[in-house]
Amino acid sequence: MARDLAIDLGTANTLVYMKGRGIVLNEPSVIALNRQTGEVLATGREAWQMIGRTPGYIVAVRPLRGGAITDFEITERMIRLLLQRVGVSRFTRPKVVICVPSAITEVERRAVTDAARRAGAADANLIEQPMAAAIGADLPIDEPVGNMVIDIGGGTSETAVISLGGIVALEAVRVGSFDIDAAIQTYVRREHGIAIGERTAEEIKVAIGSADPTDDESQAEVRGRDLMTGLPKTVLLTPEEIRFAIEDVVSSIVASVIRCLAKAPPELSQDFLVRGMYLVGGGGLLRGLAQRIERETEVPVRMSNVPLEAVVLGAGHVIEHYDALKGMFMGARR
Amino acid sequence: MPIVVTAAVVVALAGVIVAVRRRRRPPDTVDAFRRQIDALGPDARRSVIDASRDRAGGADGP
Ligand SMILES: Nc1ncnc2c1ncn2[C@@H]1O[C@H](COP(=O)(O)OP(=O)(O)O)[C@@H](O)[C@H]1O
Ligand SMILES: [Mg+2]
Repeated sequence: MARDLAIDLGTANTLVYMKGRGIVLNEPSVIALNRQTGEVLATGREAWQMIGRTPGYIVAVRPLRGGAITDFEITERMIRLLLQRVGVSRFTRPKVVICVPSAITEVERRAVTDAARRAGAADANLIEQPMAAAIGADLPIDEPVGNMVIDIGGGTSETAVISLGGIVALEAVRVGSFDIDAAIQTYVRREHGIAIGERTAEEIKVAIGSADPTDDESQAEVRGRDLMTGLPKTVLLTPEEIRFAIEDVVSSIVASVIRCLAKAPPELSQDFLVRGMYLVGGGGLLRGLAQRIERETEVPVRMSNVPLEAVVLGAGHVIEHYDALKGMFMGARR
Repeated sequence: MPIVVTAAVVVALAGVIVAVRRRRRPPDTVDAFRRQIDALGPDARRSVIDASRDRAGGADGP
């Protein structure tokens, strides 16, 4: 018999939770294709390793990169391969709950659920990522109190206020941790005259990037291609200059959190001062980001202890209690 | 033979009436909401919370 599934279809990482089993898959949302024939050559971690290192005829792409589905066909194939890998076929027909960025359009939503049904799901429904994150991060969303979740992913940042099992206020922007990588790439090119790939930029971000000064700062050596000579070259980067390089992205993420706070009804605003806001998502791990949001909003920020898994664990909970919670699917309300 | 046919028609009609009645009755929204809230409560969520504790490996976040 098929086991029902919950999928966190993130812009950077895809996770799958199987009913009764827990998390069974966790890998980058990347697919590698033959540019000429369109054949899929690799998915997940294997495809991720190819980013920026492929010969001309191979492309390694993140189909959900900007929090939008730019290529329906590729997205559909990724979903199909994903379901196949966890054992879904036309004969097993499990129920599937998928978490998608809240910013995606009606057409994109339909594309995702249709793809899952065509790949063998008996029923496919969507839930908002911040809602799933709140369930997975163990916030008391069954009570009439203001719970605030900030989910910073690769291509999107979503902030939501949740009370009594429903979303009260939501602010989703198509800005996330990938934009920090891109800002680092641009900066290093402009200021140091060397070209670096997006994976190197990500390593710099994780190693020395910060949103606010912290005590554990260090410098990093980075190797890239000198734009003038074309030769490999090493430069030293300081935490201050990286902070400067990513400032625009960080401040637009913080601004979206502030807009969400401003949308919340006053009765719930009071709750945030006591209970704080919860930070989830890989982007939330950026050094000094919690501190920075706290400083600008004057509301305490707490880090979830499962930042990368909160969404899939929350969706997994919905799969475990499908009948009671099916009213929470996108489109079920209204 | 006619008796069998009549019986079949009666059974089919009864089925239709029951189905229509059931559809007419408004869904019990109070009950559905109660069940939803209960399923989001700490008792129902224990398994997910435990799963996340295991994942965190006992180490708390920063
Ligand atoms: N320690 C870290 N510091 C800064 N950024 C991080 C860290 N760990 C992961 N990230 C970033 O988090 C992003 C992935 O987060 P994730 O929540 O999985 O995204 P999504 O939900 O959009 O798939 C990546 O851009 C990655 O570079
Ligand atoms: Mg996510």
